[in-house]
Amino acid sequence: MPQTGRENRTASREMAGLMPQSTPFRSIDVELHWAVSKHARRLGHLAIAALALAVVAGRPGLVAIALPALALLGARSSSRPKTVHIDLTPSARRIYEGEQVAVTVQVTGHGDKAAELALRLALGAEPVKGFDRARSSSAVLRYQVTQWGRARPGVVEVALWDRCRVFESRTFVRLPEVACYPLPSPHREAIALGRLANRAGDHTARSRGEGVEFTGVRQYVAGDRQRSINWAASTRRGRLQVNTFAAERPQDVVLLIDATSDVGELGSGPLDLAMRGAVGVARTYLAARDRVGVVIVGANTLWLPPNMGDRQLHRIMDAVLSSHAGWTAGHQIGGLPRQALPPGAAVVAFSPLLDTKFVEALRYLRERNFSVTVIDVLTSQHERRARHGERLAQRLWSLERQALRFSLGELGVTLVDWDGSSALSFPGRSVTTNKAGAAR
Amino acid sequence: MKQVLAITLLGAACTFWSSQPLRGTGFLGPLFVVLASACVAGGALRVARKEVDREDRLFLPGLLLRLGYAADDVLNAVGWESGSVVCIIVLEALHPSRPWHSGVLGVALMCYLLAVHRGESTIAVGFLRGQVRFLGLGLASLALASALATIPSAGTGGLSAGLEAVAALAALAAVALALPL
Repeated sequence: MPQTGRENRTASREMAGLMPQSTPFRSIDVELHWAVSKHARRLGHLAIAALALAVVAGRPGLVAIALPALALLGARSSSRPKTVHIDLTPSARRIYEGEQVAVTVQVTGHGDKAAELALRLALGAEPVKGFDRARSSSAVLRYQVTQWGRARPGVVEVALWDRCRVFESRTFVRLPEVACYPLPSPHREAIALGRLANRAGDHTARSRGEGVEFTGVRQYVAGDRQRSINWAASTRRGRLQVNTFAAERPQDVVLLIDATSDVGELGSGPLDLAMRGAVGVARTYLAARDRVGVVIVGANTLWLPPNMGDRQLHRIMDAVLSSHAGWTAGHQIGGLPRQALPPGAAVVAFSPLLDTKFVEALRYLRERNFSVTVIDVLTSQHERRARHGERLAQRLWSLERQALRFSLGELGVTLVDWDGSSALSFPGRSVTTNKAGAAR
Repeated sequence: MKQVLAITLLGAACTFWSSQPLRGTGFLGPLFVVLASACVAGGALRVARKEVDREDRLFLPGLLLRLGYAADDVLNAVGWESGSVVCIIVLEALHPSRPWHSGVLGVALMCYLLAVHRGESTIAVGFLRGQVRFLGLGLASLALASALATIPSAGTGGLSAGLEAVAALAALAAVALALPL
């Protein structure tokens, strides 16, 4: 999902204050191992061939060919340093997918030796063209992280050469670890529950209160504010009438992420979509001053109790990075404490619905009267050139999925398909059908 | 791409220069021309391949892809430039004595090797600044040696044979000094 410039800036602002700046992240002394360079080997081969043929063929003229090579090979260079000092300072250590990291590399203690710096990146990181190598001992190298996760993006290769390029030393220094958060998917609509917690929030409740949403007029009673008197209605009815407003309440939202299976292509699989979608939804609800929690069901089941604010968004993203795909027996949704799943919370689950244990967990939640919305993030398509037996298997599997989705729908679970190509929305779910807290 | 072109042109020029005249060299002349050309092409291809972004290798490649990977490995493992330099000098040795011709070839071969070094390490031309003194010394001695080689031999007497032996010993000593290890 491409990110707009505005979203990028927002993400950067969210990170502000959390990134260590200025001080070098890695400052190390590296022992150097000098070896004969390829260039010197070739010069040696040239000299040997010319001199040997001069002797064998009795051709003194061939000796002349060897002399420039011998002059370079015999050049006395200043002493070669045994160690150098390398400073690595990354511009950011927490970024979103697709953002660039600039690493300032500074090599000192190499004397007059020529230095060359180059990035050697691992899977999930790509060099920025023109900024992946430098011909000096101090440079800013840039790379882009394309895959969310907490990983070392690669190494910096530091090559040192003596004056005539006869001896060289190559050293590899690991780049600092970068926490790359999933890019939050755009998400504009938010579900508001019918029954909301009795605290001040941003969602218009069905009960009357001190909000801004006009709900009607009623007869004035002693104690009502004078400013809420509706003079037009009072004149028409001949008695004092006051305006009434809807209360504004917050809600608890628990994001349930299915990390039991990680299938599909790297970077666009269901787990990637689930994480991006969950972070996007968390950001939307937290912006609406709701309390958002997360439960990640995978190899290590993680949970965070619902809370408010920007800090909670970063806690959620850190939890996402700490999760591992898989399943561990014994981790059951029913075993989670009350803080993780507060009664009456809206549960937004992200799942490819491939694991029956996770589907059972959804049923369990719905049976306990949680409002459950499932975002189906399975994106892989059937192979078109499948053989007859495979087509049959695919058909049976499709029918099984239809039956599964139907059974969840019958329980009152809302299912939304999402492939990550568009903004996440919940059609027809702006207000849940959960039992009303009823207007007074 | 400019560097690859420079390497190819310099390599081809050295091969052409050392092979002239091809007549009178028997089957060895054409054979070494082919070998030198192949090595020059292989070296240029290796440098060109280095400039292209490499994709990660598949864990289970198909037959064609596996052949491609093997070709890539061969391209990187073989010392193409060393091979081409040896073949070119052999081609030069196949001809009767012509010291000035060998001197020009020596200069061209140095240019070829420096171009290869620049191409594979993507360094700026400024790297030559540090070694100008030694390059100058080498070229001056090359010119001197070529000039001395044009002086006719003293004959077939004892002194001449002794000088030849001294020259051979000096050559062997130079070889020993030239060995990088």
